[in-house]
Amino acid sequence: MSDALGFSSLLPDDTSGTQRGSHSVVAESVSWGVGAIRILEQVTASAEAGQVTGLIGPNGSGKSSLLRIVAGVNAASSGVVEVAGQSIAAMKSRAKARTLAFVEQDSGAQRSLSVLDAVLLGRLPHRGLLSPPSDADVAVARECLGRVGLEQFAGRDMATLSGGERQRVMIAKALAQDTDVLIVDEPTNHLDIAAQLAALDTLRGLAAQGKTVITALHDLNLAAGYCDQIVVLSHGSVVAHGAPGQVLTTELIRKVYEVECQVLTNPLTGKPLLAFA
Amino acid sequence: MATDLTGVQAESQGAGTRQGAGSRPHPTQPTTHRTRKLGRTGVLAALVLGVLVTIAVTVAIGPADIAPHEVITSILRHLGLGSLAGEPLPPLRDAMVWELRLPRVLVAGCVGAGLAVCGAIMQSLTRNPLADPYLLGLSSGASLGAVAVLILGIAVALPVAAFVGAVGALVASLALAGSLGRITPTRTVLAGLAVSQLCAAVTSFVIFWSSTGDSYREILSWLMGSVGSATWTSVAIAGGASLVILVPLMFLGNVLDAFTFGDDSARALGFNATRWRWGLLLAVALLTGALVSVSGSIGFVGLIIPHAVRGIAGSGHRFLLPASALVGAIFLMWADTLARTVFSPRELPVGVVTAVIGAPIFAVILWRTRGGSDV
Repeated sequence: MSDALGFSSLLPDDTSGTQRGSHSVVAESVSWGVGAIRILEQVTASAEAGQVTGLIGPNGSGKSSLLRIVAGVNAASSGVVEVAGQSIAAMKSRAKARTLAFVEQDSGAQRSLSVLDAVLLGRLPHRGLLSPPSDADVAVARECLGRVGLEQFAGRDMATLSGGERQRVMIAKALAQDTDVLIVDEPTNHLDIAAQLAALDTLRGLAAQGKTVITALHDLNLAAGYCDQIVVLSHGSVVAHGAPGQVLTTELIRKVYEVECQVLTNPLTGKPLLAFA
Repeated sequence: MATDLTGVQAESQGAGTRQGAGSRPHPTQPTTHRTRKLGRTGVLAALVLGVLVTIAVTVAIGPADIAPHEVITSILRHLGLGSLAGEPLPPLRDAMVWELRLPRVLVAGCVGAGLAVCGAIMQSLTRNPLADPYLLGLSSGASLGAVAVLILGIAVALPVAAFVGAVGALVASLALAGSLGRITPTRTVLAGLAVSQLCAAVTSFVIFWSSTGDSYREILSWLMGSVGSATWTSVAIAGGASLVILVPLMFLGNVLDAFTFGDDSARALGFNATRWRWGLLLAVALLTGALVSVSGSIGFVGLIIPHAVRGIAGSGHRFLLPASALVGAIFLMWADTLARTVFSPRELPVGVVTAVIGAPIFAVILWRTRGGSDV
């Protein structure tokens, strides 16, 4: 990592097929823009099953854009995204929705609906266009609510939930899609610290169950504490990728965020802790 | 994990608009999904029965005394089910039922059902609780097309002209909204308002310039929405459009549910949001065109019926769409019965009745959305 600030290609020694196959999600040379504005430039990154991969970078660095492309919501203008070796561009929309689940930043529902109904939306990719939710779908939805600790909330209206509870419902909806990959855009936005930790604990738990979790985070210390791997984006390009201890350095933070910090060790977790002047 | 059950209540979305939310107890009743499903099927069956009863009763209401069972007899005989019916009606009474009142009631039913479903769909697609077929100027465009035919004598069938007007207005609205940047609900509404006002102005100009005496009044009544001149031809148009467009739309609850959290969420759930949105808007435009061509533009049905149904039965579209259709049909059949009986023998355009009922409800909906940012 002598050149942590340079363009660090992610698969330097993964030449063998098995190694390559172990990457659950791979984005290769992904570029994307709106009109003449280039937002992502030749982004190459990957994420493993059973890990939380964090995406960090300043506002406008392309985090959300990259997540949306990896989730298949937007299509890359060039480059490919592969899940378990299969290009998502070649997948049918429904097959894609059974492979990747995407939790966007909380946009709220326009209508009032119950928590259970919200989670049941996640079963849509698994049933026919005209079919009603089956008893099995309802059972899955309830189980997913249980996995985020909200089983007793099934009958509540979404509008009566706190921001943290709503975020967990959205994660439960994504879980109901029963996908191997879960992509979560800024799960801690607008949440108090307890709800932030709860949301990230939920994601860690899911990774422990074998899912590939990819999430964009703003708080570098939360990223350091909760992510196995961190991908750093700056001006639409990957500038670093690796374990938090390798990636989060004074030099990198200065270069990417233009702020001064000192990297300490969190006395409680042993993870890196960034102290800002 | 359960740390934020109480403390974060204040930041709950919409907390500003629901001030009691924090103190209200939240029953955590285990939703019995199966019971709810059975309950909904029961409600739909009751509404179908309500539609049939409404047809029999409203056809019977009027200056000449006709009993509901006579209505049923007449209908059964005309349907070739005479064996199930009683004594045939005298020809004059039979004609009154079959030729005058029944077409009118059926057209009112189809128009009410269609407008309610169009409103429900547009509210979901634009994520705007105030949306209805009038939102994108569809009705104004359809009216303009129809008036052009009526007054200028352009040799095109009325429904075709209304289709063209509605689709033209839709395209103009969305093109205008799109030219402002990303098509957002707010831009769509504002563009629809502009197109709608322009169509209304051109329509007024055409009427002002070309019509004389009697036609003025006739056209005014049509513009305000009326099913008074309904014939079996109108039934064929409204019923045909309902069969071909409305009935399939009623089954697309899953698709509209997928749009609950917006376009991206629909895409993430495996729906091609762009294709569905355009397809549904086009279907709504076609249906609106067909309905406006037989009834003029009747306001507020598309707005208030879906709201009423949501208020009672929740907002899952698998139930909302068919229930809105049935309630809309019942509502407009009764509204038209009021329109022709309250000041009998003079008739009000039914659009006046729906506006008198709908405008205050609209105000209530507007009031309840106060503080919301998405209107």
